[in-house]
Formats: sequence, structure tokens, C-alpha cells
Amino acid sequence: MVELADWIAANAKTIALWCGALATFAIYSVLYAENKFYRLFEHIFIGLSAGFGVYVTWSQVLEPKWWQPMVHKGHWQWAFAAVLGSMFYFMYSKKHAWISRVIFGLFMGLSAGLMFRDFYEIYFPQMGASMKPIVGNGMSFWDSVNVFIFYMILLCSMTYFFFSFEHDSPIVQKSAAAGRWFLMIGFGAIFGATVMGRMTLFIGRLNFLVIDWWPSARSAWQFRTFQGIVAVIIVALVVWIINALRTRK
Amino acid sequence: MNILEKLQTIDRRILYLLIAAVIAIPLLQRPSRHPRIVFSEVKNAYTTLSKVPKNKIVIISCVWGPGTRAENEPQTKAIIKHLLMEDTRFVMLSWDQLGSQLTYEDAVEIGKQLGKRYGKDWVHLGYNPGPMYAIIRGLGKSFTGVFKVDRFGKKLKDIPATKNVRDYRDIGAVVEITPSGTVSSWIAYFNQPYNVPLVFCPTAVMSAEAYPYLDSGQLDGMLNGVIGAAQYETLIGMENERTYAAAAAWALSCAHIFIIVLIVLGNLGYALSRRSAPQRGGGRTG
Amino acid sequence: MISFWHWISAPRHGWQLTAFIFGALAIGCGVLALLASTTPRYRKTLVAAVTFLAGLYYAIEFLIPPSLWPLDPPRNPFSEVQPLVGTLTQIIWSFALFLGVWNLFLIHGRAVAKRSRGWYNSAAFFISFFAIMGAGLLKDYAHGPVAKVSQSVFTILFSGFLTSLDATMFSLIAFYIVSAAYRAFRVKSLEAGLMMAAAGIIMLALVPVGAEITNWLPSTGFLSALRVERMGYWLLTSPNMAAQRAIAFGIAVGGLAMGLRIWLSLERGNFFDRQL
Repeated sequence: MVELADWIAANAKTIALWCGALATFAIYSVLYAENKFYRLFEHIFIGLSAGFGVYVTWSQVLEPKWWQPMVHKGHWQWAFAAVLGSMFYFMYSKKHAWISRVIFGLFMGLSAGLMFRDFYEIYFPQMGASMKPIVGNGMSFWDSVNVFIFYMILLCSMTYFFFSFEHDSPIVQKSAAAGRWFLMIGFGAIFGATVMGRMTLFIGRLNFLVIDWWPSARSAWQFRTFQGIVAVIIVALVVWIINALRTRK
Repeated sequence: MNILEKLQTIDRRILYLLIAAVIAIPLLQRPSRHPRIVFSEVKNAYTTLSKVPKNKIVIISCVWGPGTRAENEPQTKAIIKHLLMEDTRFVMLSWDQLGSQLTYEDAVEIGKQLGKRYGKDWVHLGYNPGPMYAIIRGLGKSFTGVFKVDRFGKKLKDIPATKNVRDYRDIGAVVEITPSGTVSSWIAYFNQPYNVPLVFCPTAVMSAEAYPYLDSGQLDGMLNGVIGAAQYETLIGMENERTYAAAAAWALSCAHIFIIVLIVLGNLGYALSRRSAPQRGGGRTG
Repeated sequence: MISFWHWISAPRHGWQLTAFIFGALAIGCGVLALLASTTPRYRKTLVAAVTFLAGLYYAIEFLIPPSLWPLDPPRNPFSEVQPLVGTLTQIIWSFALFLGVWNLFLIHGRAVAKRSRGWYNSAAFFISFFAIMGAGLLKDYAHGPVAKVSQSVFTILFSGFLTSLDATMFSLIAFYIVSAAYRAFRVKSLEAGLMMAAAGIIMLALVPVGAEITNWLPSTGFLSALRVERMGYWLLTSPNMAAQRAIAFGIAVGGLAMGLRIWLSLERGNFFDRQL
């Protein structure tokens, strides 16, 4: 047992690499078809996330910032924080569920109270930055054209979003229609950036498989193990495909 | 039925295999060539962090986790490397449970490469659950009042890198590395009120919405996803190193061209099938 | 009054600490019992009052400048206690984490107890939950071989399974984008065409190959504006920036209205209109 523990400790990183590859293939198997392998690893993921969350919340938040000051440094007042925290759990009581609304109301009130600062600090500078000079300050002709385009797009797009009055006037109607066109450029930018972002996430996983896992899998005992696992998986796949075809017929 | 119309019914799994092949090639090649073009917001981010006074710290606020590791980790590593090369002390804090461990490991790895020590050159504050607004607002008033200990439970007042950090006056810049819209919390509750520079490192999805903040000066720089990280690596002298960011930049090039080809082919096939559909249908008789 | 405050806030040790902690818990339970006995007529008022007072803290902290407070040196006392508010909210928020965990335990516990379809998945949930939590706690609190094995198990579960599973789940979206690009992204109008054109230019501008495609164009002069990276950059920093700002202004006004409605408990809907 001690030898096994030592072997695991010495090879933990390599085993983690293999587990990562297994987990990656398990999740990607859903791209072929829904299967039990994927469902199992999905549940393992949920369990690991929840368990890790509990561990980290205790070890890096509650223990150093609440338990240690309360129990080891004598700041008994932190006990009231536990009482307040316990109010969340009243939502599971049919009779006293409303008590959880008090603590939720506290947090909602705190974040709502910040709206004044939010509006001032985030949007006032934006309004100021929107007042751009069209000429002067050593601006070239193309700089002025840029500023003019900026004003046109900003005002037309804002007109599109104004619902508090009827778009009766032809000027307002045309501005709003133009605003919709200009907003398409913004949405196109978001779409292009989104494609880039999502592709990067897949690139990250593929990088792990081809750069981190595969070279490691080609060495010594790992390759023999790998051959064995691949053989088992291929046999299981063939059996599953034959079964699926039979069921379909 | 012509070839384009036939291609409309291609199995999606073949497309999945194709995208994997298209991306795998540059990853295996591992080109060291970094992007030639460096956007001005990346240059501004570099300049901002280079100008942080040595008696101040930089806060690296990491909201990312394993889900967006592929985009945010290269940004984090590039920023950490730059700060350590400049001998600028920094403090990392993580708002994601898993990201806390990952960001710590990244800083340890780069710190070892450059001979920098935990506690003297950098500190990690561990995982901080929300609400973000309360913590950010509080740290401007008293840094050690909000963050009393580091991730190992050691008092910040006993750690050389943070013992003299009182409040916003000792914070030279904030770097927010995030896959979500949390930068507005820093702008509203810390950087704007206390006039501290802010560098934004979003995933690409969030980057398009950040340009108004760059224009108004509320952001002092931005690294746009993994491309921004690759460009930043160019600025810190890694332009000839075989890094993941450089390989990912070229892999993204292939992926984007592939996606554009797919969109064009798909629309061509759709347009052709629409044109031929009324002829095939014919008119009613009798 | 001040000496009472000093007495009540002084740290305690030994049996005094235990007594004070239990006393605080008893007082807390007493307050909860009082709350529980509140008649339904006053419950909504109580919730609205707590919401309003909580919001009033940050509102006063922002709206009233330090110079208006009769203190020497001039300062806003609400700003002074911000670090405490930050820590306190963080700790109370952490207690809420277990809400989600409890819910998961209920759902998967029922599945295992009833041996319903796929119950082994729920069993896997419990095994993985306790495995990583146990490994994490043991590696921090145990000593010797137990700590060593726990560290290894934790590394395998965290670095091996958890981070890979999280990253792979997110990366599935890339495949759906590929499938959608071919089958669903149809340019059926000029507006959609404009959006796709902008997206295409920006996609090429952001990656290195875009610069290579138009590298043959001069880097200065009128024709340099046709280089892909310049077109993309202009699209991002000019039209896109203006459009995003217009959207942001709409969100700003909406956010202010929503914030006021929540702060003053004027919000209506299923959650807010529910009988307490």
C-alpha cells in the first residue's frame, strides 16, 4: 500500500494528464451522439465542481476570515455573521421561507444603492467622451469625417432605442431605420469576436491533447497502457455501433 | 441536384473532424512567429504597466476559470512575466474557485523561471467570493482591511510585498482578466473614483463592447483574447519564442478562414437551392 | 456608552469566548424567532425596509461629500466602514454557497434512493463530491502519508478531471458554431449581409493571416486604408464603438430605472408580488 501511495505521488502529474485526456474524449463523444459515457462524466463534473467549491470556500474564505478571527483571536462578534448566513436556508421551509427574502433583500438593496455611483462613474465619462469636436485641435479632414460618422451612428442608433415617443416624423423614422443598419455593424463585430473566442477554447483543448498528452502517452509504460485502453475502447465502440444498427433495423 | 446543394446535407460530424484537422496543423507546427501587427490598445496596456512606480503594486484581478483558460491564461502569463521582468510587485486575486488554483500555479511557474520569490515579489490572495462591488469599494479605503491574509492564511502586514500597502495610493494599476462583464465594477468603484489606471484583458467575446471605454479613457489598455496575449508577448521580447499564444494565433487564422468558407459555401448552396426549387415544384395541372 | 462599546467589542478568550459565541448565537436565534413570529401583514414592509436601508448605505456614501459631515478631519463615516462591509458581505455570501450544494444533494439523493433511471450517475456525483472535498481537506489538515496521498489524489482530481471537464464543456460551443456557420447563418437580407461583411472583415483583421492577405498594399497613403487590419480596426474603433455606446446609454437608463424600482421595492412580478 505504501509503495502504491509512493508510486501515485511520483506519477500524479502523469496520471492527471491521462485523466484529462479521458475526460476530454468523454465529453467530446457527445458530438457523435448522446451516450452514457458522456452522462457519467457530466455528473462527475458536477460533483467535482460542487465538492471543490465547498473545499475552497472553507479553506480560503470562511476559515481564514471568519473561523480564525472568531475562535482563535477572540472576535466573538463574527458569530452574528453565521446567523445572517443561516437566513438563506429558510427558503427550504414552507412556513418561514419569507425570512430568506430578508437577507436576499439586503444584498439586492446593497447592489441597488450603488446605481448612483454606477451611473456617474461609468456613463458620465462616456457622455463627455461623446462630445467630440468636429474641427480644430489639429484635426485632419479624415479625422473630421470620422467624428461626423461617429455622431451619425450614435444619434441614429439612440433614436432606434427611443420607445417613449411615436416614430411618426419621417426624420425620426429614417434615423431609426439607419440606426438599425448601423447597429448591424456592432453586432457583426460582436459575432466576429465571438467566433474568435469560441474557437480559442477549442484550440486550448486540442493543444492539450496534441502537445501535452500525446507526447507523454508515447513513452514507456504509458504507451503500453494506452494501447490497451484504445483496444478496449475500440472494441466497446464496435459493439455499441453494431447494437445501434441492429436496434435501428 | 448540383454539388453545392448536395453539400447542404453533409453530416455535421464531418465538419467537426475538418475543423479539428484545420486547427491541429498549426498547433503541431508550433510556429514561433508572433503577429506582426500590434494594436494600439495592447501597446497602451504595455506602456501603462511599464510606467507603474516601483513603490506601488499592481492588482491582477482574475475572474477566469478552466472554461476560458485557453484565452485568459496566456494573457495572465504575459502580464505576470512583464511585471516580474520590470521588478514591479503585484498581488493576484481570483474571483473563481478553480481559477484561484490555476492562477497561483501560473505565477509560481513564471516566478521560478525568472528567479522571483513569493512574498517578496508577488502575493496571491486566494479565492474571493462576491459580492465584487463591496470588496472593490472597500479595498480603495483599506487594502489590508478587506484582504487580511493571503491564500495561505499569512497576514498581509507580515508579507514584504504587501506590508506597506495601505489603500488606493499604493496601488499603481489594476489588470482585470475576465470572461464576463466585471470590468464595470472596477471602473465604477475603484479606478474612476481614485484615478488608478485599468488594463482590461477580456475574452474575445467581451472585447467588442469595451471600445467605448477605451475611447473615453476609462480603460488604459486592452488585450483582446489570445491574439492580444500574442501581441503583448511581442512587446515583452518573446516574439521568437514558440509559445501557445503564437500557435493559437495561427490556428485561429486557419479556423477563421475555414468558418468564412463555410458561411460562403452554405449561403451559395442555399441561394442555388432556392433558385432551383420553384422549377422543380412545377405548376398545378387540372 | 463608550466604555460599554469597548467592553462589548473587546476580544475574548477561553471560557469567556465560548460563552460570548453561544450568547451571540442565542441572541441571533432569538431575533430569528421574533422574525418568524411576525404577522404576514408586516412581512413585506420589513423586507422593503431592509432593502431600502441597505441601499441607503451606498447611496449616502456616494451622494454626501466628506465636507458636509461634522467630523474632524472631514470624512464620510460610511466610507470608513467600507472594508468591514466588504468582509462581512463576503462571509455572509459564502454561507449561501451551500444552498446550491443542498439542492444537488436533494436531487441526486432522491435518484439514488429510488434507484431511478441513471441512478449510477447520481452515485458518481456523490463519490466525486466527497472525493475532492475530502482530498482537499485532508491535504491541508492531515500529516504524513495521509497528507501525501491526499495531495496526489487532489492533483489528479483537480488538474486531471475537473479543469479538463470544465474546459471541454466550454469548448463544445466551437463545434456548434462550425455547424451553424454552414447550416444556419443565412444572409437573407441586406442588413444581414452588412452584419456578415463586418464580421468577416473583423474576423480576418484580428488574426495574423489577415495582415498577410493584404500585405501587398502600401502601408501609407490612401490605399493603405484597404488593408484588412486597418479596415477591421477602423470598424471596431469607429462604427462599432458608436453603436456599442448607443446600446450602453440605453442600458444605463434602463439600469437606473431598474435599480430605483428594486431599491424602493416598486418592482412587480412573480417573485416580488408573492404573498409572504
